[in-house]
Amino acid sequence: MLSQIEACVPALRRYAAALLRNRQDADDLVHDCLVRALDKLHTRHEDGDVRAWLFSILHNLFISQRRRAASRPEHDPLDAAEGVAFHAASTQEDTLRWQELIRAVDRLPADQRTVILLVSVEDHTYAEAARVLGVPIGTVMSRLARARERLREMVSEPKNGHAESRRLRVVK
Amino acid sequence: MTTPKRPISEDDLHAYVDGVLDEDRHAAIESYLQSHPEIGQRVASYVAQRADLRAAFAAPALEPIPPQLNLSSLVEERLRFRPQRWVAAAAAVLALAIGAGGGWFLGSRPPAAIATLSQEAAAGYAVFVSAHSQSDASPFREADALVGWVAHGVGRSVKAPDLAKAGYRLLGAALVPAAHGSAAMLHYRNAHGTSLVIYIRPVPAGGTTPLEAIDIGTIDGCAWIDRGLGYSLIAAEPYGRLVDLSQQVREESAARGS
Repeated sequence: MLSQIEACVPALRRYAAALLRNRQDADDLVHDCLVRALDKLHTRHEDGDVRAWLFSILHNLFISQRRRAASRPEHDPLDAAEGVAFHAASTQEDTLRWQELIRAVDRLPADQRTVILLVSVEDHTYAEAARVLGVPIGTVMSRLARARERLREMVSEPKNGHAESRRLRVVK
Repeated sequence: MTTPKRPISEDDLHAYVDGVLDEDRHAAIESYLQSHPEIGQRVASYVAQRADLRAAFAAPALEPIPPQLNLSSLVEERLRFRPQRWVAAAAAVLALAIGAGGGWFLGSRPPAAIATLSQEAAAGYAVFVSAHSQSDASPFREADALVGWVAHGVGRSVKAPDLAKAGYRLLGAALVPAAHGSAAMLHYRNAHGTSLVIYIRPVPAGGTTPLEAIDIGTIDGCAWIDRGLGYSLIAAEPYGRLVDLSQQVREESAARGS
């Protein structure tokens, strides 16, 4: 069991960093998640699906953190490059495209951001993502569809920028 | 194809992007996209977006894990400083048992040691099994790590006994403060829901003793000392069966040199 938890730590760090966009905060969140998981080990009697269990703990911590943060004044959004180290081998063109994408992900509503990160980046199945987020699979699918479409509109060149996509770009 | 074609849904398109469709469905979507170029273009851009997202967010997972996220350290820290509530409850009961049982922790020789060992184990059994008999959840976990921790003074590696052959599945383990250092409580259960507890802790006086029957109230058990480690096995089983199970634990421990 411990080794299964350990194997998930890199993915938890990646997910937390993508959500929080600050590496120190992200690792603090993962730390809290691991401590919480060790506290709750005794409630688990099966080894199945350790990953979804850990991600759901992290998700719940993230949500309560956001709730606390919401009572504080809004701070400036981070620069897209902050807290994200790109591969040494990537080209500048890749890096720019990824930065733009990260900025776009930052602008997604939190509900859509978590779904697209879990499914696209973390390779969770739809059922797993539903379990992590505590929502029905249908909700995962509709959030995923909206997130993908919205990202596409934000990132793609405004060549097909008819009124609707412009409106979506502004509406948050 | 003889089965009627299932209509293509938006969900199918996303499952296609995520590569989770079976072969037939994948092929069906592929040909659909070819005949609907506008949708095909949209889906292609989702596929590219997925690859870009993975690349853009990949870095943190490729870096070495920092010390504060080292799981072994977290576990150790927790064993030392963060006893769970139920462990505190167990400790209180054990303290009573030890008070009644006398001075094993003062280094006395068996059979006083066996008597104390038995009482500690019985007290622990009463707390754990009765407190958790209503659910399958168990407070015990990570048995091997705990047993290794408890026995780290005996100079050999000790693992949680495996009773699978006898039909008992390990549900987990708990660290219990004992009069002299720490003890490990291992909780097993068989298919009929019968609980079995093995209690392990170092015996300061050391030595090895034969199996001894213990009888505490309504439940039977066996206790013995094996090269400086005291064992007590308790379950609601006939005494002959308890002896068999205890022998298995002893032999297994000798066989793997632990």
